[in-house]
Amino acid sequence: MPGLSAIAAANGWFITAAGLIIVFTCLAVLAAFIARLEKMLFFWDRWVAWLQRLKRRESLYSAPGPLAQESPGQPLEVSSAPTIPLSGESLEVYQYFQWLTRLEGDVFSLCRVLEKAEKRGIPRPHFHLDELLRLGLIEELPGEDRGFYRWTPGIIVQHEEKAPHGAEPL
Amino acid sequence: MVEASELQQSPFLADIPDGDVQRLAEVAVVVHFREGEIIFQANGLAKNFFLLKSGSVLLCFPNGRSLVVRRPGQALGWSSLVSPFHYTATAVCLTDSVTYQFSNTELFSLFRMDAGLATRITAKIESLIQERKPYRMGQTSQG
Repeated sequence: MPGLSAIAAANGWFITAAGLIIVFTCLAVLAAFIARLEKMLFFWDRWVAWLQRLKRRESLYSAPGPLAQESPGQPLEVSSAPTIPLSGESLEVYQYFQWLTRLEGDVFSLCRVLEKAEKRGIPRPHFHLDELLRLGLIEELPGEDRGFYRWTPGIIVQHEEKAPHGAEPL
Repeated sequence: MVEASELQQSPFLADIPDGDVQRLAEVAVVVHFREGEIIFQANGLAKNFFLLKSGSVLLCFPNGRSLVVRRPGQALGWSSLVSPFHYTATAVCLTDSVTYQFSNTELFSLFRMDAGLATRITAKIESLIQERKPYRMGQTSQG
């Protein structure tokens, strides 16, 4: 049985059609998945960000944590270090910036940090960076390191609701 | 055109005679920039010189150093007056900012007509270049 008859006898046409359908179906599914991948990642990022915000809020309200740099139960007035009160949003962005600069080390480049902040979707990174500079939370290094910056040591940052009465920005 | 009295408050134009400031005011244009907007890019063709009127601008140098300019009257974009006319830094607005913008073509026209003005502005530019030299030179810290 030669040629086309042999193909027909062995269900060749059916197998070919089935193969085509399977391949194109898979390709269509893959294309649909890739087309929606951006949205899926967007929702994933939002979910992760929401979880992080929730964790931060919990740690902020339950304990002073590394931000406040004070021992639990210690009266706020005892500390002689300057305290800077920040609003909820500013405090959140401050923590974002701290995390970003941690990747760079003790000394960091403002431009690089700003670039990373933009890429990671931090809200109004330019405005908040300016705020951190104006408040004296970030300071420029002297001498040969001029133009590079660091977090000003010895400053306590707190949520404005928790800050001692009368604490004002530097 | 802007009021000469506005420019006279600029530290960059301190010691510049009133007549010169008046001529500069005639070619100045007030330009508004939004937060996050780039005023000029490093290595870009430098066509304009700026004096900050209000706001806060971050000068990002290619070596990673940066300088915050927020005092009204501070100068930006001196490269527009010095060969090879390429900006040495990127100026990005940290807040909504307003600048007095001077086209270098207009400034050079003024300089051609008034050698005294050219000398005084060149001296100011020279001191600005020296002042910002540490930011342009040196090694890149941490890569």
